[in-house]
Amino acid sequence: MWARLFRAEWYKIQGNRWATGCMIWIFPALAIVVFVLGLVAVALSSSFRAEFDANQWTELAIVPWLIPNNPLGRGLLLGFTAVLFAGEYQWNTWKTIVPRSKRVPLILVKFVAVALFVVFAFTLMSIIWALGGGLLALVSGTSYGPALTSEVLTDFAEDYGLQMLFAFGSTMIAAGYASLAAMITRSILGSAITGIVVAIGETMLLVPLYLLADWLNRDIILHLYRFIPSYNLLNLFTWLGGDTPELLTLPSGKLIVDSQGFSAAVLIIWAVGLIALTVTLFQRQDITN
Amino acid sequence: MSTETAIRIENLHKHFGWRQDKRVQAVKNLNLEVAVGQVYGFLGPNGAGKTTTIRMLLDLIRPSQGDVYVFGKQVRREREVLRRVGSLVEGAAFYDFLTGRHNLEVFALTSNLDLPSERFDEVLTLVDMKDRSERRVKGYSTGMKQRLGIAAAMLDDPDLLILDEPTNGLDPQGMSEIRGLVRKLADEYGKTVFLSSHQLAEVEQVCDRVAIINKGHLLREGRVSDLVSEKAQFRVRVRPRERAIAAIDGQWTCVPQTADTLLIGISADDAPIVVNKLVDSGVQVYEVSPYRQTLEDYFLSVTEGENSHVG
Repeated sequence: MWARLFRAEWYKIQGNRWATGCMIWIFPALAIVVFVLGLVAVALSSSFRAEFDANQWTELAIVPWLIPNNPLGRGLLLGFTAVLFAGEYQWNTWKTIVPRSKRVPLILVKFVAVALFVVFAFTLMSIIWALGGGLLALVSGTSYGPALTSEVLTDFAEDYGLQMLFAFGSTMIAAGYASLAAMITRSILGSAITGIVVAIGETMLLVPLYLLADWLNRDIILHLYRFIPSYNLLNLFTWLGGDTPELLTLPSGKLIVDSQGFSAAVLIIWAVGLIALTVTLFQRQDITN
Repeated sequence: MSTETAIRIENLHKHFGWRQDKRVQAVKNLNLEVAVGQVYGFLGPNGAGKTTTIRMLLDLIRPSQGDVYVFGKQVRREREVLRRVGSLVEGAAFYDFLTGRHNLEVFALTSNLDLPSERFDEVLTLVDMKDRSERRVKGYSTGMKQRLGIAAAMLDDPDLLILDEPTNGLDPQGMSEIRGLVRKLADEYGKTVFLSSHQLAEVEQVCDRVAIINKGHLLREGRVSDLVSEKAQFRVRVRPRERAIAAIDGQWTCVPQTADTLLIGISADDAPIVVNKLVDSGVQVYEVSPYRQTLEDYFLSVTEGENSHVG
């Protein structure tokens, strides 16, 4: 059943070229464009060639995985999720699908589709980015990072896996926002806008919480921020990047340090919670359009 | 015809809205039974609660109270029974960016069906859409979408078809084809068809039984032939018309048709009594003939009666 449901999602995603092209395939396409332009510049300009310094392949391959945490990248992924979830409401297609299938797999397979498409698109982008960098290094005659020893590969696989997991978690939380918004607004635009507002709004929550804590002279208010996904994503990212935490300074001057485990647990709870809430809402929802 | 029940609706209620003062009662205490192998018409004016009832039949919306059974199984508890049901609800809806055929493939996959390519050809041919199935739905007319919707409903040869306004947007030729198809499904393949339609002439031609609902509750239910002959009427050409109306007013129902004709609700046995009464009152009677009521006449009389009664 799952394989058939996924094939159906695949048909829809592939068929909706505009949405998938603008919000998913744009990432690997962008990688190709950047390296074609780089190649042209290296080939045509001797001064560019002389000054060109390719990054190490170990760094280049990881760069694309930073995009899901970047506001623009997150916005596009939220848009893609909104199309996937709210599209069924906007196109009135639930009424044809829902009677013949169980509601839970129908909605869960959309999360699987978002996850697989994002992983696939960014893996593809990462490969293009790394290979393109290698080609540029070859043409310009610059060094392209360490040789492929088992030690280098082990370190790279660890960094790559962590970064990928981090991007994946971030995407699933964004997908949770967009899917929940889709259940409520039943429109692609409404879902995308609500998802983006919530995703951006939560990162900005620090300012009002800090001001309120300072004004009321109650540090405890700022502790709420410790349970927000963006803070925990940043904390985890900072830990993974340099073995140091993201420090949260309270109005009283006290510092809060949260462990990697704490942040990972909060993020998992958010992702699972948002998905569970979406599934529960969908199960109880009247399909009236 | 089998007496097994395809659909049973028991004390069904549905209201929308949380606040008591703004609550809309869409369906009120509806009870229905549809036997297997019947073509059953489900009629009512706009906003009568037809589509809400159909959506509850398909477990798209939850009843506020009451139960819906399909082939003896309660839909909310044993919803796998809906795998025996094909449906077209309130206008066909598709993924516009996919071709007609791809849409059918998507619906088959989401229904957990692995159908051979020939089955898609069969249903597309049945609704005369095979030649146009490789085009994107974006370019389809309403009628083409309806045809594709009917094809989607019949994909895995379901035992029960629930069709909500299936001929909307079709030309007369298309309407006739769908009527023929519906009748054929019941007569030759023993399928049950639950048909909601505004085309009363169509319902009269194709349905075995009908239910008429208004404002969420059942007004009448029965065989089409019984309902249209329920109120026997005679057309009477008289002069002067006003004197004739005064003569029979209060004893029989009387509806003016033209300047000198009346429709009088009487049985054949009562016809001579009425004629005598008119003659005794000084009315000249030129013609008396039985008037065969259509389903549309019947529908209008019961729904308008209901509206004026409520109003």
